[in-house]
Amino acid sequence: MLEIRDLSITLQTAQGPKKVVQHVDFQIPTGTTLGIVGESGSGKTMLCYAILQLFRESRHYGGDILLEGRSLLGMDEQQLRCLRGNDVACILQNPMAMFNPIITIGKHMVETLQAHRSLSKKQALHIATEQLAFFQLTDSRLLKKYPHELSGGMLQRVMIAMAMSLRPKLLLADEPTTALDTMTQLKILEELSHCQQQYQTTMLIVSHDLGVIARMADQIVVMRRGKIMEYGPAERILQNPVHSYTKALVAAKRKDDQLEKLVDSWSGDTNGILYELDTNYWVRQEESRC
Amino acid sequence: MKKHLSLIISSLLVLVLVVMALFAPWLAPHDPYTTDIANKLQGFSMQYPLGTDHLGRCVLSRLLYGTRTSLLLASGVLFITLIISIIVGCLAGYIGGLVDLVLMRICDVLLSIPDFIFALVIVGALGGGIKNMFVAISFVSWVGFARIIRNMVRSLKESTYVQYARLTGVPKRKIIRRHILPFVFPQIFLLKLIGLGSTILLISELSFLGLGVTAPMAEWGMMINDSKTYLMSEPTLMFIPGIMISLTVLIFNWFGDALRTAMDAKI
Amino acid sequence: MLKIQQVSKTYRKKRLFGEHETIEAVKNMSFTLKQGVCLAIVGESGSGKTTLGKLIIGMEKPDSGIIQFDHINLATTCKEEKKQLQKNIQIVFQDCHSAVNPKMKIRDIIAEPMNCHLQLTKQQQLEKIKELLVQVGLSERDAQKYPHQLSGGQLQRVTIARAIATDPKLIILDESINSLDILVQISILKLLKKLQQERGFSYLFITHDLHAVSLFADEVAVVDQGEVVEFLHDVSQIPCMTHPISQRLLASRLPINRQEISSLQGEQVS
Repeated sequence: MLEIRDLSITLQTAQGPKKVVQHVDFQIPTGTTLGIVGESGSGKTMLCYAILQLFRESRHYGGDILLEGRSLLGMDEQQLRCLRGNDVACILQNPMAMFNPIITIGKHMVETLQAHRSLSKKQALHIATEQLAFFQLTDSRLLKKYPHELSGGMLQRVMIAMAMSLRPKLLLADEPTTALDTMTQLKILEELSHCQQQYQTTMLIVSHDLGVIARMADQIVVMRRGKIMEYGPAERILQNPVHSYTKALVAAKRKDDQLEKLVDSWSGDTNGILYELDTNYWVRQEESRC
Repeated sequence: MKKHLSLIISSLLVLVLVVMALFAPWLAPHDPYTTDIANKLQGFSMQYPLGTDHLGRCVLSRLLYGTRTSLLLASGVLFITLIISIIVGCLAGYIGGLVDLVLMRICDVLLSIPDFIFALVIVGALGGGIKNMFVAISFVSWVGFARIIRNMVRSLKESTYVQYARLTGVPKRKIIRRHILPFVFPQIFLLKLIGLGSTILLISELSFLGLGVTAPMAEWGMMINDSKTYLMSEPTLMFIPGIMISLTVLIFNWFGDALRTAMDAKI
Repeated sequence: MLKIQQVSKTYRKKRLFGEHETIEAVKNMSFTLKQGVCLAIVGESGSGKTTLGKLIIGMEKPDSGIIQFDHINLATTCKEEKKQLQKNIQIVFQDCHSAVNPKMKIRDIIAEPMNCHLQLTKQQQLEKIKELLVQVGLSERDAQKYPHQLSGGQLQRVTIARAIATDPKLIILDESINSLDILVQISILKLLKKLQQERGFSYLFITHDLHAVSLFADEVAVVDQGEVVEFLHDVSQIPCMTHPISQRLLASRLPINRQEISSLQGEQVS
């Protein structure tokens, strides 16, 4: 479904060009979920924006991004506009910032639907209500409410409902649960799983929380400073991480470790080559630590 | 370089005005107060580049000295109103409650009267003259800014670091000095710079009505007033100061705008 | 050291038309916190844990009940006592970027509480600031920097240095590690633990992250709808919590072990 081929992203900053993503390769088969885990500065959010081809003017891309075989980097603005929302949808980190505060939820949803399908307002409203019901948001007054009247968790669920209302082929979720409580987090992830089961949506989830990734992903990509450290099947990486950075992240989440024993920083070498440990399992080589 | 072209050009023009004001005694070809009835209402000549007025005074010299009057007065107003509006705004915004209510209601009442009319009333009550005009314009100008500052202070008060300072027991005046003023001051100074054009206009308006500067002081508005009678015969006497007023206001507005754009870009 | 007795706080939401909505943020809460102990207050948003933090630091006043710190009532009007409270109870906020004045240098940020409570000469103050910076894992040269020149983790260390500058007895950590990266969170928790061992602080750790609690805290209070629903004196007992709310919190953790995930999924469905 989605193939990232040797992608590099360079940002034009006041201090000169800055490489934020370097030579990243991975594939997401249709109907599966890939999780990207990394800390701030790892380039994971840049990747999301790259797939959506936002902020094209200030970034320089090397390599290619292929959606169902079509190159996204080669498309013009018109083609991309059709693509966004329709084939590729996204939910981003801070739900409150994603809504226009003076427009009701209902109007938001109708606007999204009408932008891509020729529907009358009545039809759009009907689909919107159905969509919300699917995500167990059955309050009939919800469509008339304003974004600030809902909690962060509710808004995020509405965002997911809106994103899925056009049945996109690919759903990007950039830190979808970071601003939320543990119980709400779980609810959101359950709904995302539900989506995938129902519609066979391909998903790309980006998070700094390995717990979120562990719950959702079939494959995991571990990123650090714009490069891939480890990329492979989720189960194997979580059970037996190979790269020391992945090991540090996994250890931080283990239940039985004591605080003193956990790694609290990682400053290893990121310049080693990426080698194929197994089929579709790549690890970056590190200098041997004696 | 290209981005800041607006700012560079407008700053240079402001500099020209400032130079004109500061060095008027050296730049002016003649004394602006010397009358020479024999040479009254002369056209442009080598001796009098912009001609003479109805009392034989050199128009160019009076124009240059007029720059002095306008800029000096306007700067004085800026300084005084800055102080008053910051004090009122900070008190209302930080202390809140009854103090805020009373001060803001006073501002509301004062704001409901148009600037010019209000200044007119004050000058009418106090009498004409440069000092009273200064008081009138200052009194009229601080009100709007006080409200802006009060709103700024109110929102700054809610910021986490101000809350921390209060919780730790930092005294009020220190909080205002270290956490509020550094943010309020640059914004308000900018706004005032942009408002300088309006102040200059107000000065000219009052002087035109004869309520501002008194003869024989050189001031553009008064120059227009003096030349009313000669509109048909010597129209340049009216147009020249009029154009000067327009240009000055335009330059200051442009400068303020360019400065604001440049500062926004930095943020 | 800290005693909360039957404390309640209600908020009234004013509406233009219709009735006023009242929210009982804290309902008759009672517990004690001893010197040198870290008590975690765990709950979801709306549970009252944030309000509790605000009541203890003095941002809000309780409607009923007493909060006592070292036998001083928090509602005291005596200036001396108030100063004592301000010196001894400090707070580290969730967002380090908004918790500091972006126009102030790091050394002035840390000096702020010191100027109120410690009588030191300029030289002594500077020495102490350098000491504090080293203690929290930063370098002495950072004193000259501005907040935007530091990363999130480094800035949070600065706010910790500021909090310990007055040698307080109690530090409230209000979701202080949430917005940081995972490894940085671990490093901050380690730092706080080290400081506790060296200087004997007590912590009130307000969070919704049970995993961090099990790594860091000594005691746990689970709150829901303004009440303490379960109190553990031993953090290792967390997996054995019995109250339905506690169990829901346990069930909504996100482990990374595959077997745990499937067993939790089984629980969640039922």
